[in-house]
Amino acid sequence: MTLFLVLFLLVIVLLSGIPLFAGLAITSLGLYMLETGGVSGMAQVVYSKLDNYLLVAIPLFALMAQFMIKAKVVDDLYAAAHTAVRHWPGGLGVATIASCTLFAAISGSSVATALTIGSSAIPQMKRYGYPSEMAYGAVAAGGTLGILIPPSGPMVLYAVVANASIGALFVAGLIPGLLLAGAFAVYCMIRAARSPRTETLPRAGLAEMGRAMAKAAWSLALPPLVLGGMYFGVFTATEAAGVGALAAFLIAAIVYRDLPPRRIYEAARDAVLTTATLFLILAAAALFGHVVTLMRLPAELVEAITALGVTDWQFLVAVMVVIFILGMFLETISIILITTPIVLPVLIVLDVDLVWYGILLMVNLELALITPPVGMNLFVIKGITDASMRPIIRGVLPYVAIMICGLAVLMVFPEIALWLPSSMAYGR
Amino acid sequence: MVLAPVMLDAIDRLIGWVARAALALCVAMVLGGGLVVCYGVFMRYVLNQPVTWSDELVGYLLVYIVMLGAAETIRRGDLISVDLVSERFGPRGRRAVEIVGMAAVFAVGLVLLKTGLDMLAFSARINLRSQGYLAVELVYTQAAMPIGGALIALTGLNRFVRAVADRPRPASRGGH
Repeated sequence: MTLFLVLFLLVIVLLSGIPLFAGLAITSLGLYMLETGGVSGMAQVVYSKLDNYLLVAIPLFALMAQFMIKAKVVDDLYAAAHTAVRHWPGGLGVATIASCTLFAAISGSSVATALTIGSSAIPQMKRYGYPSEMAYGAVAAGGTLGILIPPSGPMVLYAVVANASIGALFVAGLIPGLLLAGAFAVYCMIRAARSPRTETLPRAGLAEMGRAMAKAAWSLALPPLVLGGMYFGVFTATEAAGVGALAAFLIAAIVYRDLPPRRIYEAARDAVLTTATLFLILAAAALFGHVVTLMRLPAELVEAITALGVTDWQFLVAVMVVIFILGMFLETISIILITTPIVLPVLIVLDVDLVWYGILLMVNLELALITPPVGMNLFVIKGITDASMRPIIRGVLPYVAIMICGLAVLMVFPEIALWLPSSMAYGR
Repeated sequence: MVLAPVMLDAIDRLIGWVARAALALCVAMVLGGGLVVCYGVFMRYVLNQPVTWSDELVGYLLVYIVMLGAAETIRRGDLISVDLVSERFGPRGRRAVEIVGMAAVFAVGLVLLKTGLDMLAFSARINLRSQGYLAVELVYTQAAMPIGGALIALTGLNRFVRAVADRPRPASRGGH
């Protein structure tokens, strides 16, 4: 009961519109004062959480993405995908999904993916007669792949909070991510076939395709370098992020010749600001995790679940429903950081694979990015296009249905996520 | 509020300068941290001489990057918030949300400052050193907490005062 009261209080505070980090921190401090009568040791709690080598991957992946964004490599990625599939029915939609998948493997961020690809893809799709809703839906949903396809900032955060293997999570996200991308692409083709005004472009010649691929080759080489290094045990996630940032810098500076000192500063500045914004919430969540543990709320939940004889399946379904509902109102980082410390002890007691749960969580958080009223990618599309929310929401609804089906399939067949990490000898 | 607008603007500019200086330090640290990580990889794979201190160092840099970078994030209004309810408010309602939000930011900053100083005093008293290869005195790494707390409190207070005086900086970025 206390747990639900605390969560209810928290949701009210967060919905009030005050900064999430401040709302989470002040609620935690208030509860801590009620428990202990003071606030001693709070800086130590935050310091211990932030002083973590694994978390360094997040600013470095952000830096890698910023170098690639500043060099405008996305235009080449989109052009390469476009020339490869534009003659398919719904080819521009498929190219958009393919570009999102590729950029997701570079940026590690859903918002950055939707924002960057959307600016190129939406005008192009509209120009060739694609319905606006279809263009909005493809970019908003394609953008969500950023948190499932590695590298992924939210995955690193989950791994650190749950003490799960970042490498295993990155590997586990690959097949579900590609399957979802494939499902999105198939939907684009079916939808385009049913829209008579959409134009199917002529097949690109080999020379044109070769030129487009050659221009994008350096950007396309980055994900295999970063992810391959991790998958084959050459780098840790943090090292992969550092090497990726250096490679992105070299591509932008030497290949694209478009990285003056001012833009290097801007790239690093934006990486710092992104990191500080996310990690302030992480710091507040550390306080929250500390206080709920002090209040024995996770332990009470474990006792209640055990007393009720709840099975792992029943618990997982309940948690996924709660996260889906939270996802309509809160953003992804807060959901990871608020829910994980509470459900983790139960997951361990019920012997649920933490990597599998992490992937289910990421797919559910992808949904959070496009479910109204608060879906970050919906706002991104609105920001790019200045469209009203109604067509954007109509555009994403089919993708919401696809993702819910994908989540259900992943729950029934955990092997889809776990086969690759287990075949590469990643432990649990 | 009896503070003259010109004085509020002067304080705002001063705090802006401090926050941007802290941000510039963070930029140097994130670029330096990236190079340290790459140096570690190079030494291990190319020269076969693993570096023992790089992991520990970049962990400390991260604490500074977050705590020093926070001030500019707050000053710019880049903090993530859910404006589902507040976007329906009129100007007075939004101002009230800004006042309450910045009061909370100020309070959190003060707590980090106070408890950070307590942590430093404790570490200094027993001459606490890190457990890693650097064996650095922890007062230097932990100093990020009170410094960052002070900056957070300062930038939060600045926006709080401006909101009360009805001279707000641009509001927090909405949606998320």
